[in-house]
This record gives sequence, C-alpha cells and structure tokens, in this order.
Amino acid sequence: MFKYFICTVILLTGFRAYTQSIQGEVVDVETKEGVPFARVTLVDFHTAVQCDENGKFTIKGRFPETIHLRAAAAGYEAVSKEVSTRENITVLLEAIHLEIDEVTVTASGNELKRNSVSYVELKSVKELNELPKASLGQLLEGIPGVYNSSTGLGISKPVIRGLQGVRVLTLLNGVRMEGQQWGGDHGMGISELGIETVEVLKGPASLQYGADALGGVLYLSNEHYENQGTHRITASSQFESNTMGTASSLIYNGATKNLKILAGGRFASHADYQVPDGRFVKNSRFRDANAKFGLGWHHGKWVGNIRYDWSSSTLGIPGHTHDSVAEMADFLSESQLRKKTLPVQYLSNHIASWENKLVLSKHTIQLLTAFTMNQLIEHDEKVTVPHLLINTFNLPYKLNVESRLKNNIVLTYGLQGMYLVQQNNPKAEDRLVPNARQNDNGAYFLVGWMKDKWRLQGGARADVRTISSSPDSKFTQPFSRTYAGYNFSLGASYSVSKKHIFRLNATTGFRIPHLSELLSRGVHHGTFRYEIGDVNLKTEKAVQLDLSYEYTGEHLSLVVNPFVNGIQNYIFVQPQDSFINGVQVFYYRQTNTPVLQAGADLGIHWHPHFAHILHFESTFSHLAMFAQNTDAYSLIPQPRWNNSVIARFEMKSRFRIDNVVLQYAYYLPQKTVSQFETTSVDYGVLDLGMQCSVASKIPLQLQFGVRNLTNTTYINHLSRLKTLGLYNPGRSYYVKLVINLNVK
Amino acid sequence: MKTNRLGAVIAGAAIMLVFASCKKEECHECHYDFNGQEVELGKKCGDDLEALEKSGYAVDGVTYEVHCHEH
Repeated sequence: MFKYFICTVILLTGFRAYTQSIQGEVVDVETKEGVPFARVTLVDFHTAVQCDENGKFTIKGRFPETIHLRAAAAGYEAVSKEVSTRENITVLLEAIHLEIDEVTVTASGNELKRNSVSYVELKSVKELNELPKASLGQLLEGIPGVYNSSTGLGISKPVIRGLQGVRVLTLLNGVRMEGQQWGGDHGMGISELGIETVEVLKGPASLQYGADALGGVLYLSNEHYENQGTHRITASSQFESNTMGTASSLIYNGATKNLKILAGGRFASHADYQVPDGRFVKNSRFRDANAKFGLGWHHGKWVGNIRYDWSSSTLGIPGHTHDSVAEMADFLSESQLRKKTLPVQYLSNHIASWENKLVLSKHTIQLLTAFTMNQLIEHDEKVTVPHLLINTFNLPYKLNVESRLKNNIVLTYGLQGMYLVQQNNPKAEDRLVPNARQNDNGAYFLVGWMKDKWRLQGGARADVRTISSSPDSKFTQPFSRTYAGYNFSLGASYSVSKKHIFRLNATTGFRIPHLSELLSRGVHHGTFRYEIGDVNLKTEKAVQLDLSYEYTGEHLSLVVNPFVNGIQNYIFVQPQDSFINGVQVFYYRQTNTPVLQAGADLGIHWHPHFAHILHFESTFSHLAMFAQNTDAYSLIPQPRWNNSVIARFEMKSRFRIDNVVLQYAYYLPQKTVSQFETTSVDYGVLDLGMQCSVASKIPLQLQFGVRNLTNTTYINHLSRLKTLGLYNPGRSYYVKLVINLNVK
Repeated sequence: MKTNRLGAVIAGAAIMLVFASCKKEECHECHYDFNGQEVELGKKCGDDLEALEKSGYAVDGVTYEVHCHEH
C-alpha cells in the first residue's frame, strides 16, 4: 500500500513540477497579428524554436513551471520575461526601426542589454564580420573603447581603456583564460570559430570576476544552439590578398528535443604581410588551427553543458636581426614567404569545461568547473631546442546562486576561484619566471532591486590568493606570499522613458602582482628586454566611476559613456641605462601616487526615415592618463573616430545584395608618451565591403571588399613593431564564401 | 551498404588523422661562425640536428655554437 502511495506522490509531484511541452504565440502589440518566424528562447535551457508563419510555437521537452523566456524578431524590440509553462503563453512584441536591444548580456546574468545596470558593450561576431579581418584581435577593434596591441597580424592582445596584458581578463564561455598574458608578444589563442558574441565590461570588474579584471573583461560566448529539431552545417572560406592568406572553417550546430551539439574546426594560414610600399615584413607569417565542441542537454530542471576548445598557433616573430645596428630595411623583404623560420612561437590551448545548472522556481544554482592548459614554446636561435617552454595548467571553478526574492529583489552570491600551476620544461634553454603555484578563492554577493524606472545593484567580494614558487638557482629565493583583496560595486540605472536610460556605476578592482613582475630575471626576446622583478610589489587597486546615457529613438540612437578610473600602486617597467649581455635592463616599479585615467566612449547610430536602407554609425573613443611620474604609463591608445555608412537591402530576387559597408577609421595623434616612447601621428584607414547572397537549395553568401583602400602608410601607436619603424599592412582585397546547409 | 560506406568514411578519417599527427623529421642547413665567416656543416636532420644545436661543434678542442636556420 505504502509503495502505491509513494508512486502516486511522485507522479503527482512530477506532473506539478514539469511540463511536457510549452505552447504559445508571439503577437504584434499593435496589429494583434502573429509575428511570423520570431525566435523564442528559453534562456536558462539554451533551447530555442522558431515560430511558424502565424507566430505560433511549440517547445518540446520537460520544463519547470516557471521559466525565463525571450522572444525576438527582425524589426521588433526583444522581450524577456518570466512565464508560467502551464498556460498558453502570449508574448507581445513592439515594432521598432533600430534593433539594438535584441541581445542578452551573458556577463550580466542573461539580461537584455537595456536592463543591465552597468553599461556593457556587446557586438555579435556576425556584425563585426561585415568587414572580415584576419584575426579575432583585429575584429575587436570594431568595438568602442577596445584596441588591439599587435605584433604583425598573427599576435593580437586586447586593450580596454588603455590597459592590456594581465590587466584585461578574457573569458571564454565563462572560463578564465590563462595564457601568459603578461608577455607583450603573447596573443589570445582564441579564434572566431563558433563565437557568437563579444561582450566588453570596461574598467574594474573584480566583484564579478575576481582578481586582475582591472582594465576590463572580454567575455566571449559560443554560438547559441540551433532551434529545436534543426541542424545546420556552415562552411566558410576566406582569402586575403595582402598576406595571400586563407581561413577555412566547418561547423555543425544542431538540436533535438533535449540534446544540442556544436562542433567545428578552422584552419588559417598567412604568409608575411605587405606594407604599402610593396615590401613584406619578414617572418610576420602565421598559422592557426582551432577546434570546438559543445554538448548541451536538459532534463527537467537540470541543464548541463560540456564544452571543449582547442587551438594551436605557429607564429613568426618579426623584427629579428643579428646586426648590431639595425635598420628598418633589415626587417623587410622583396619576397613573401610562408615557410616557418626562427624566431617562432608555438602556442596551444586546451579549454574543457562542465557547466551544471539547476533551475528552480525562485533560485538558479550554477556550477562551472573547468580545466585549461596553455603551452607556450619560443624558439629564438635553435630549431630543436626551445628558448622558453612554459606549461600552465588551471582548474577554475565558480558556484553561483541567483535567488529571486519578493519585491523584485534578486540576490546573487557564490564562490569563485582557481588552482593554477606553472611549469618550465627543463628542455628549454631559459626560464623567465620560476615554476609556481597559485591558489585563488573568493566569495561574493550582489543584491539587485528593481522598482518602476529604477534598477539598483550593489555587492561586495573578498578574495585570497596564495602564490608560491619552487626553489630555482636562477632566481634569488623561493617565494611564497598570501594576498587579500576586498571589492565592492554600486550601480543604478534610471529609465526616464523607454527612450532615455541613465546609468551610474562605482566599481573597484584589484590586481595582484604577476609572477613575472615579482620574480622575472632574464632576457625576454619577445620584448627585447632584460627584465628584473621586485618581490616587494604591492597589490594594484582601482576605483572607477562610470556614467552612461543611452537614447534610443525611432531613427536615432545615442550613447555617451564618460568615466574616471584611479589606480593605486600602479606597476610599470622602467628602463635603465645599464645592459646585460647587450640587452637593456628594465626594472618593475610601482607608483607611490595614483595613476588617473579619464575618458569617454561616444556612439551615434542614425537610420534616416527618408532613406530606410541607410545606417550611419559613428563612435569616438578617447582616453587620457595622468600621473606624477610620467614614466609610469605608456602605450595610451590614440583617440579613435570610427565612421560607417551601411546600406542594407531587402531584395527578394534570387541574387541579392545584402549590404554595402563603407568604413573610415580616423586615429588622432598621440602625443602623451613616456620618456622612452615616441609620439604617433594621425592617420585614417578606409575600408569598403559588400555582402551578397544567392537564394538556392544550398544558400550561398559571398563577401568581398578591400581594406585600407587608399593604401595609407601608417603605424598604429599600439603596434609592437612601431619601435622598428615597420608599417601596418597596406591595401588588402578579401573574398569570403559562406555556405549554410539547414536540415529539419 | 550504407553502413559499409559510413565505416569506410570513418576509417578514412581516422587514417588521415593518424598520418596528420605523425611528425615529419626536420632538416636544416647548419653552420658555425669562425673569424666572421660562416663555416657550412651541411644539411642535418633529426637527432643529429638536435645534438649539434645542444652541444655545438668541436674543432681542435674549441666548441662553436651552431646555427641551423636562416633569418
């Protein structure tokens, strides 16, 4: 009898807790007619469907009673809300001309961009790829306030609000990338393969992401899984005339009722790049191979995701000579080569993660565990014996609980940390930093409150990091120290109306000195410096005040985002007048007074009523730095004024022109430099591109165009080849073919 | 029939992967510097190449550093 009772209770509970399928419709708020082919997404479950021609949808599977649903359609303002799955759902969408709020911000807990308390810059890779580039680092330059510190075209490092390297945190699907970012010549090791969006949090963000997020956070997210019951294979191939480079990729994205898969690979090969005078920069060649796999599933309230990313790059390091007095001509060649030569860098990354989420009616519990492995090998003078060979293993974790309480209060709290091991391989000739272990643990909470037009958010966080190095004859002494960090954030957003949003945020960040800053002792060939660390360096601390105003009208949108950021104990490298083995000595130093950053990012998007196909976009980024000791800062990005005119066509013919893009990026002069840095002059680069498509059984998309149309001779202030007088690339024609195969 | 074809495709892919992951032996022209001149040692491969780069080239009791790449 008892077992029948238990069975009945389980069955009843099951029926109460889960729904077998969700049905509903998406309706135009004005016409009351269904919105055809709108996309409905269950955000927490990574599950989506497309509405039929009448705006009706059915999502199959077992889901909890209350879920977070998002509906979006071309020409409509996206809606995100909690709904009951036990009833037929009706979502009302409002027609708009500008689609700027369609996207959700992963870094802010899957909120719509307009609902985020802090201003987050968000771009889709598709949007950035309207003018395709040779690398992800170059694509990121299309985001206001984001720059690219480059060594040729192969090595790119993101720069956010003038800070780079260990001061910028890169996350791939929430997993922290640990890839020797301290080195000026160590690139990101991530390609655009299978990446859908790039979110940029500018300024200190230690509350959400822990130590080191001082300049900002770059949050890369995988493509969303395909709509339920849909399978897509995308093949693409791109050719660049400047480097005679190719990049080809193949990716599968498919979803059944409960299971979702994303898998693909990419290979890119580029020869030496050409400068405007027709010569080629020796050894600027590079090769990239990437693979990606993602498996997502859900069962009732449980959502799981396993992801794996692999990358392997062979990167030539330009600017190498044995001549005691080097001239620019030594680094240039009349012929363009692709074959690997020295010095060369091999960079490989393995990033595996397992995400588990439990979606309850009032709480969402998320546990992300990951394993990352980065290997950096540098060969300088010997083919078989590496100069440096460093392996970095990292085990990051994050336990996050989101509790939706009464009166629109959301409490988010959790634990975050990592265990990192850095090992030098004894096969290598040299070690820049000793073998070391690092253990991070942090606890945080964040309270969000929403009432009428106000949204408030505030929180605090405490972190502890322990660094210990192994005994090594090259370095003075074994090092072991524990650092603590306390951070807070307080922010508010006020929507005057649907058109006007003001945001004000005060955030703090901290960065514990990196091993290279504490313990370096040796020649770093990538930077041409003999670096000497200082074990007495203190933790860098930053406080930022960030204000933003957003206006979204029917035909015009505007963003004004000024900020001021003060950094205490700022660490910098100071050149000395001494040399060791012919290499100039640099000491790591720290400022006694704060370094102040002030600047603004401005953006305007005009979509004139009289010419609906046209979009005029203009963004302006400016940063100034102030310090008592002007040697403290260097490499302040040139102010950038980016202007685009985009014509988007909606043709119905078999052959269609989708868009034509004309972009002019104007970089103002940079005259604020440190003692051993040179100024940079202003320049402008004009790009032109076109995208067409052919509607057939196998839909084709063709992009072609030219970058640096006028073959302008320039050197970007952040180019690491600037000191050698090497110019950025000249004119480059590109063509890209994309084939999309959709199977239902 | 379909299963056979699928099997052949998988086997082909596996063979390609195995061959792709085999590392080819590297060969390079090597030299050492003596009195400002490059003294050619010829093409060296594999273990010979590695040994020469690691230990150098000894002439009359003097060991010279060997370079096996062009710039």
